[in-house]
Amino acid sequence: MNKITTKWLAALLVSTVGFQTTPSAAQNIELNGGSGDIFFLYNSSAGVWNTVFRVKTSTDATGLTNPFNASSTPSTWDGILGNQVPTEAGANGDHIYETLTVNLNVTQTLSVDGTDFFFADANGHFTNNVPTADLGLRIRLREDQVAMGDSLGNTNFNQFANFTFAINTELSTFNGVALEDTSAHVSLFANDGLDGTAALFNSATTNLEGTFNTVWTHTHRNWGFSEYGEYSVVLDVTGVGGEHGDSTHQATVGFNVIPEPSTFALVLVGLGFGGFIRKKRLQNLG
Amino acid sequence: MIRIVKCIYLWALIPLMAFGFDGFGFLPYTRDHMDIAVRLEDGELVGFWDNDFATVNGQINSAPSFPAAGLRALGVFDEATPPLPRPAPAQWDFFGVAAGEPIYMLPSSGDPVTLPYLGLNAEDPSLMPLGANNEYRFTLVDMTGPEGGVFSLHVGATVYMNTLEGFPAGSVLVDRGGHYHYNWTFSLPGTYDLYFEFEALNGGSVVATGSDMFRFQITTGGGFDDYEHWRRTVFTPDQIEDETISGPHATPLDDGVSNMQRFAFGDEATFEWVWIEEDGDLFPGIRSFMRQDSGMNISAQYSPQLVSTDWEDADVTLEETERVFHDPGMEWRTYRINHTYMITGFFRLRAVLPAP
Repeated sequence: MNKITTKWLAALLVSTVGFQTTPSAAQNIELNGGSGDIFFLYNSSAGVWNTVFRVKTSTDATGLTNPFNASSTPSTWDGILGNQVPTEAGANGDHIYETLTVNLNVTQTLSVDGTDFFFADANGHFTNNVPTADLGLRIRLREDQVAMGDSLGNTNFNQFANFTFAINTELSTFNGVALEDTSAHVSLFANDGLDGTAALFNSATTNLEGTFNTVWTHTHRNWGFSEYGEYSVVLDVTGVGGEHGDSTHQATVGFNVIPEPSTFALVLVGLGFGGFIRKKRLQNLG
Repeated sequence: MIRIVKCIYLWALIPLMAFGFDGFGFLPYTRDHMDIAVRLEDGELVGFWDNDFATVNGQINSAPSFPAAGLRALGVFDEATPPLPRPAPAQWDFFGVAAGEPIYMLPSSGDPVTLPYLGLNAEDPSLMPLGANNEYRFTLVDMTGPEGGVFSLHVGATVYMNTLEGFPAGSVLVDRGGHYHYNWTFSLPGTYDLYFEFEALNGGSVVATGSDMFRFQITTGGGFDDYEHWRRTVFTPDQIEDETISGPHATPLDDGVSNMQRFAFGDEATFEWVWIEEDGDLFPGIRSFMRQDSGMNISAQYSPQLVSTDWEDADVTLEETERVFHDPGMEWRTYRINHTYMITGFFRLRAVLPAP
């Protein structure tokens, strides 16, 4: 029993140390608390996607060095709709990143479709008001034709008919191993309002893709992880049908999933107490 | 098989024109995200709708905010988005309806996307002078709504506000910069006014106060029961009491358009002349925007010349209807004109309210 607990603690220490010693390089955004959004935009002129990070009043993040400015960023375009240019780096608005990592201190679990997940309580769900890092989704797939030089005066329209959001279990990893080759699972799920769960996707099941019947939304769901550790979650995001046909983009989000500090301290106290008892026993035997 | 061919617009027999009018207060907010929020104005807390590119009056709107009396959250629980049945366990008694009865719940996470998705926030920069670590208390102190209607602010079975036991009906504390999403659930369709009191708390002491009313309209997809229901939904409580502003014959905007005309034909009445192709034959027709199922009688009428008051019911066939999601009860209706003498005649649509 002690052996197993010690191994688990060692794994935790490795994970925690890894997270704490990773420096925040420029454009490597880490969401540590509060709320922020991963934000999807599609540049139809170039046929490329922009995935940026939306900073809000409650966002507690590092690496917010590069504001996303549609008029000065070469890869963007004039037809953009729904973005917010920060007044300065780190201010409310959209930021460019190389890597996006969410540091989750979680203890609570919930069963989703038969699998227990540690989850970060998203805004509007379950116990609410819990100050864990809450990564929302923001989807703004419309464009301004007039700004793009349409002399006919066509105005804003949807770029796609709808939007799908899927987890790529082949490319996603858990502690560096392909997620599909591990026993770990990832889910993104909601409270259905009556304390039930509704999974947008759940890698523990065959439900790997969720559809938004809109291309213009902002939502917060619960990110669930079946084990503590480091996840690299690769998301296949697809605009489906409509003006520009199908277009798929991959976005990657890292999640460091560790126990809440209070729980971690309790574990250490428990192990210390166990060690004390063991020492006493050995003394008694001796 | 018919095909509507739009042709000529703007017949002016109905004395209505498009004025670019954007409606009275309480424009319908039908989908995506907003918060009910507070800001500091002249030392007082003022409520407003904090807009996150939500859909207002049928269009995605980029205005950062709307005044409290500028919008109503409109929940359309139609066949595509039906209300949920109340579960049986006692923890759901707070909804105020029996197990299995419908409850009209606005989502806390934007799903389904066809309903407003609402939170509370205290993020406005104007609050900074009151202190960076303040808390803001939102208390529900009163409500008007359909008889027997119950409102709950909750997240699942965790209830923050509930009107079942009277008022005040509960409070929520939001820290400065905070922003929380909830389920907003109503027990009956109808128009509800929720009256909130706001308090800024600094170390337990109240440092600023304010109050405001926010309106919600819950419908099963139908429109207003009658003119009074419309009046109750688009005017403020003070205006409702004033016949010269909210009465059916009043023209509160001095634009020649009466409330009754707006009620019957919308804010921008349109009367289009169309051709209807059916099995290779071409028939004349009219297409107009009008309200249905609201206690009115609307009929198409014909007259051989404008100077006469001798209007008679026109011989028309309803060919097509298109509903307007953000204005339940309003429809585009296309009628085929069966008269052979239409070339020399005039048509109008006439709306009549039943006698009170």
